[in-house]
Formats: sequence, structure tokens, C-alpha cells
Amino acid sequence: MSGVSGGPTEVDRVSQDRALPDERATPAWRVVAGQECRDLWWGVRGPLLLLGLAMLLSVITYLAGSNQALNFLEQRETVNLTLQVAVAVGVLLTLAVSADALSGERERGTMEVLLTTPVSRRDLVLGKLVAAMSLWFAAYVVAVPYLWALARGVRVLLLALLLGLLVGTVLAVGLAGLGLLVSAGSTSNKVSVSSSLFLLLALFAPTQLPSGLPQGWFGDLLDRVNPVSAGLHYVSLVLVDGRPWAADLTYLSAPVVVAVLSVGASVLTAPRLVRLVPGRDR
Amino acid sequence: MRRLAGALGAALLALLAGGVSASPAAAGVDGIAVTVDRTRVDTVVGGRFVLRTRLSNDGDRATGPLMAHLNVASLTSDVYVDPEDWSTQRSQWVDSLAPGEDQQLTWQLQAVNQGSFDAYVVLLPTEGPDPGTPLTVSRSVYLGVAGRQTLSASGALPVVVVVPALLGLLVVLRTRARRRRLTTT
Repeated sequence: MSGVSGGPTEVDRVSQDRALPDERATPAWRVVAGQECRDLWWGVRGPLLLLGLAMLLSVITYLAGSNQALNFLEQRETVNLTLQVAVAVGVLLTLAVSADALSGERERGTMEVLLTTPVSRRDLVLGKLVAAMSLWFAAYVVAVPYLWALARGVRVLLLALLLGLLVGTVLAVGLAGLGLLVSAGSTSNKVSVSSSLFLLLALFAPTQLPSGLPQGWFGDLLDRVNPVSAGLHYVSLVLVDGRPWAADLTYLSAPVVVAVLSVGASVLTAPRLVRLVPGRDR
Repeated sequence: MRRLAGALGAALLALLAGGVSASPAAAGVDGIAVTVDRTRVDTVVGGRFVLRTRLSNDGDRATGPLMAHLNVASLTSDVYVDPEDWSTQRSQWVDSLAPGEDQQLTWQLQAVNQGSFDAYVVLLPTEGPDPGTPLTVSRSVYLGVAGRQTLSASGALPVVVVVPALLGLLVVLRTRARRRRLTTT
């Protein structure tokens, strides 16, 4: 109780003394990422989000196994469907966490304390980005047993896992960067999270159009410019149509460009982004 | 007697329809013929396959613009077929065919229903066809589609149950640990 009402206890001082040498040796962004990951994973938020993803994947996997309408799909298509859901929801979770990163600190009143720590704003942004990415990697790990269960007998498990890791990571990096930018510019956490989710829905909407429709050059251009539809299209081409990895790499241009630009912009403009009030010079 | 007459009638109809012809081509008006690369496809539900048709102008005049249209029909009354589900591109257009010229068209299909079906391609002139002009139709391709259970619910059941259960347990443990921490402080 003395630790709460008065100064630090003996235990606190000892743990601080022990922590200091490690923290001095560790880059600041890793310290921030570590703290953010602890908040995410030692609390309930991270496991709860993963539980939601697992329940969704369970329903899809069970339906694919029992429902005749879904069971007619070729097994590769079932793996593809599940992988795309896993990537989509994993990216959504990453975006939701990164959208909360800066606006959430402001709203909880912890931004001021954060700015007084001897951590540069770039390190702060980078650390939060890495922590948001941990949710994507955890979502990917959760999806592995489902893909294993669905891919038995068609020898596409390794291919599906590699594709999911490659495309999902690039998409997650890009959208986490976008989420941070939105979070930095939003006046409230509600605005930031809802704007980011709207952005994600807008990017996902074209993937729900019937795939076989003749769409002309403009439709094809939109498909390639939208990082989400381009990335998921690439997954389908390799996994279902059996196209070689290198044949349609141009589809990955948009996801890579968005990842580089959004992360680059977040890190480079971090001193202007991380502020007590968005848009104000303090 | 009635049975014999029926058999003779059926044989005559088959002869007229080209059913006993050795050639796979079906010729219609203006000397245009449509041939299909096979007469039968055996697959399973969900299976993908390709049909290739060749349009050839065996006449002495160039044709006008043409549209080739693919259709799939069920041979049994209990199976409903929506051809759109079988192929996303059911119509293809050909500008014109000079005398002696031919052109290949490829049709990608996916077997959506289990049962017996016929697929065929019909050729329609798109400019100035006289009403009642007979159409050029390919020979039919028999599609035998067997059922298949690609996955079993029981096979995936351990994963479907165990993964959420483990994560649920983790959530419960984290919640309890958090409550305990708050209580001690």
C-alpha cells in the first residue's frame, strides 16, 4: 500500500535498478514496443481479439466441412477462403490497434506523461507500430491449425502459409501505418477508430464483387491500385489457379508501395504527429 | 408394331440430327461449323475443366459478326442448373470469318451440381439475321458429375473446438490475474 500512497517501495527501487542497465542497452523503440506488447498481451485485449478471430475461423472451417453449399468448393478454394478471412481479420485487428495508438493516449490522458519520457517521437511511433504488428503475427499463428485442417490431402499448406505470411505482413504493415497517421490526425479516439474501419471497409468492398465479371481496363486498374484487393487477388492466383509466384508479382506493387509510404510518413513526420492536440504546434 | 415404328422414327430423327455421323462438327447456315474437342467429361463437384470449340467457315462467303454462346442443361428433372454458376464467361464474340478461316474459342467451366448434364455451344449471327434462320449448334458434350465430400466436419472438429477453447481459457486466466492484481494494489 505504501507504494501507492507514498514514494517507491524497496521492491520498486530494486526492480528499477535492475531494469535500468537493460533499458540503457536496448533501443528506445524496443522499450516502447515491449511496453505496448505487455499492455496488449498481459491484459485481456489481445487474447480477446484473438478469441474472436478463432471463433470466426472455427465457424468457417466447420461450415466448409459440413455444409454442402460450401463443400462443393474445390479444397484449394476452401483453403483460400479461410486464408483470406484470416488475413482480412488479422489486418483489421492490426489497424484497430494502431488507430488507437496516439488518439487513445490523448484520450486516456497519458500522452503528456509519454512526451516527458526520454524517448524520441520517432521511437514512440516505431514502437507502437511494432506492437500493433504483434497482433497480426498472433492472428497468423491462430490461423495455422485451421489451414492445416483444411489443406490436408491437397498439399497446399506450405504454399498457403507462405502466401499468408508474405501478403498479410505487407498489408498489415501498410494499414498499421495508415492507422497511425489517422490516429495522429484525429481529434478523438472514436473518430480515429471509426475512420480507420471505414477506410478498411472501403478497401475490402471491391474484393466482394463477383470475380468473374468482365471489368475492363479501369476495373483491372482499380483492382491493382487497391492494396487489399491486389494482395488477396495475388493469393488466389497462386493458391487456386496455380500460377507461378513470379508471374503476377505486379499485384504486390500496391501493397508494398502503401506499406513503404505509410510507415515512412509515420516515422519521418513523427515529431509533427505525436502531439498533445492534433494539428497544434505543441 | 408400335414399338418398331417408334424405333424407326427415333433412328430417322437421329440420322437427321447428325447423331450417327462420324464427324464431330455440326454445320448450320452459311457453311459455318462448330466442333468441340471432346464428347464427354467426367469430373466431381467443384472440378474445373476446359472445353475448346473451333468455328470454321466452310462456305464460300465471309460471315458477318457472330456470337458464340455456351449453355449447360441438366438431363434429369430433379437438378436445377444455373449456367452462370458453371461459367462466368458464357458469350464470346467473333468479328467475322473469311472463307476457309477458323477460330478457336476456349470455355472455362466449373462443375457446380452433381448429376448428368449436356453442354453445347450455339452460334448466333449478330447482324441482320433473318427471323427464323436456323442456328449453328455444336455437338453436345456429356458432363458426368459425381458427388464429393471434400472435407469432413468430424476431421476438422478437434481444431474447431480446441483453438477457441484454449484462447478462451487464456482470456479467463488473464482476466483473473488482472482482477487479483487490482485487488492486491
